[in-house]
Amino acid sequence: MTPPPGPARRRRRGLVEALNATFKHWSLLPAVLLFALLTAYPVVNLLRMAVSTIEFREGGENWSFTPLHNWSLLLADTALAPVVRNTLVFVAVAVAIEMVAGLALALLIGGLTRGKAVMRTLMIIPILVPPVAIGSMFKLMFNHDFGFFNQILGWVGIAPVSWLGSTKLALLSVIIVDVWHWVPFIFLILFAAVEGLPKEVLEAARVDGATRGQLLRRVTLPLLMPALTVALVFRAILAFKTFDEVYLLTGGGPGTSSELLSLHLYKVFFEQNQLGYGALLSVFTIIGVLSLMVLARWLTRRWALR
Amino acid sequence: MASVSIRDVDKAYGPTVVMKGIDLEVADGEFVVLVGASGCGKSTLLRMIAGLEPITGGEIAIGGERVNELEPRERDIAMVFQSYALYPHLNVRGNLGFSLALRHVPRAEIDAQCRQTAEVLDLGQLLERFPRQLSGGQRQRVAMGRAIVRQPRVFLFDEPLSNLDAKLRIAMRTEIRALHQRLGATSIYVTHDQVEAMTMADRMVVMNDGRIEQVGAPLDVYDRPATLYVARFIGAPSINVLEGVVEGRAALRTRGGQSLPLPAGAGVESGRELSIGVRPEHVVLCADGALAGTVSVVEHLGHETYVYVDTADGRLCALADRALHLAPGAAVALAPAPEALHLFDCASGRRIDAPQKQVAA
Repeated sequence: MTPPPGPARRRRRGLVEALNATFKHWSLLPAVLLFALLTAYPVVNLLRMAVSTIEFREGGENWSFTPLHNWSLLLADTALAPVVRNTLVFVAVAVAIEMVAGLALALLIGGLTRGKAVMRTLMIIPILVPPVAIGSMFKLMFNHDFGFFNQILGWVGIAPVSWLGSTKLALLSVIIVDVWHWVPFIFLILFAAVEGLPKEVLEAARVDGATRGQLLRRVTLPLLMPALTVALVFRAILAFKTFDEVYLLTGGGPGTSSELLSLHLYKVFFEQNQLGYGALLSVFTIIGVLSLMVLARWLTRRWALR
Repeated sequence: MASVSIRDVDKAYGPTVVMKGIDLEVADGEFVVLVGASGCGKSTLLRMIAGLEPITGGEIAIGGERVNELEPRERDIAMVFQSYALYPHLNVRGNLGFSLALRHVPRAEIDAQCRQTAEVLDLGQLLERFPRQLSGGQRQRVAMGRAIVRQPRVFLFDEPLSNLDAKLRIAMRTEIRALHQRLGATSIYVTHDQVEAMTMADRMVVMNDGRIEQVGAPLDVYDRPATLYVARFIGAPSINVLEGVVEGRAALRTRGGQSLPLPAGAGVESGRELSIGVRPEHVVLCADGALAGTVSVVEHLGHETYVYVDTADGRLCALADRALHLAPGAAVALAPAPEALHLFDCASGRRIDAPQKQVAA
């Protein structure tokens, strides 16, 4: 004989049931804590830095809460406007060229009947080269007196050009290197997508009367849209943070003509030792990248729904 | 509407010849079914007519005009694929109107056409849905609709019903035939299912190993198979085949040592090796037939009953009266009707016709 359940017993049972029902959530707690510690803490710390002035004195860090000071540094930073402009131009031009070239190559090589594997392997070589090697390699190729590019110009009768030393060409030269470096990345993503296109759907469109142009515009591109979005968003984020190519090729110069945001951040942090202001700039960079992602997502979704 | 002529068409992939000297005339408005086991080349032939697969030799003409060099879009054909191949990024309306939009037909007209087609195929409620939101049967209808909306000269069907369940397949079979009777458009239909071929075709083309074995009306092919392959392929349960040597003027000594009477005037000389085909409905179960054996399996299908009998020449099938109660293990004899035997040359597999007209009942 078991006694009828009393109120206390019932309450306890309710508690056990609630625990059982939510156990899977509770079991996530350790992972959440670890995540918070590893990911959230540095970001929070960055935010804290952005409103502080940090000085190294007497063998230690000295933090002081000075939000306005960092803002005033931001407003006084005359290099910032050209740097932001350079960065936007760089991201827009480089990524646009890379997307178009990557897509064209993916469609071209995807259409081959033989030698696909060899072509794919050849294509990805540039991503395998260490950025420092790319920097020195292209620095030689851009050389005014004996570089590859000027030799080519010489053959067609054009006078040598100062690729890295002219304010007009420095950013363009960086873009050329970036395109060489990153087209394979876009190509790889889109090539996989092209290979996965449903063949019968494309055939159905050809039978339905699609010309090559219509096939591309009305079937292939819409079907590739998810892959295009991924490639664009990833590449744009990475391009926004480009550092090594500029640092190695031009150092941002001449003047600030090829200085990008990441290099500027580097200078603020490590040459001017403005840790607080650098953190503020970093926060703005993060916001910039985030809004870029949102914009890209919105644009592609609009396009896909058309 | 147009006729389709296939004249001496070859197909090779590199050095591998897969089709040689295919000839086929499809009349205007005819419904022709290409049937054969998988890998026999029927889909390849269809894709060559569509222009999706280049031909190596010969000529294909649609409506009397040579189309060898024309792109698929210039051939004015419509094709229904086995996978349906709907455009996943377009809704049903977009799928139906796609071919018209490509031709820059005015929007209002596209809408009207789509609505009309949707009505014919009972898709009116689904116009705004996307392919992923449709069932298999609905997708199949959209694929059909996409083909008929632009009123092409020729319809090509590549196993359009293979992905449907049995019940729906039978329903769609009838529907496609009804649609064909309404539209009267020349149709070429590929299937591996001989029942589909039998029920749908005006004429059927039995293919095997890149060759055409026989062309004819379904019942003609059933009654007078031109080769042993066709005899085996068409009909379910499959035709019974016995091999043996002609003995005297009117009997066959089978491999199993039994003697089978041949039709009078079969005109085959003594000593010739033959393959004999006889359909289950022409085999009578009796007490003292030519072939003795024991019952191994009895299949009741409701409207008919098949009895499988193990004999010295292997397992043979007979259509039996359902009232006949036979248990496995029972000793029976089989009497194939001599006038219903199909005689084939053992080596070539080709039909041997009697000098005078031979009737298969």
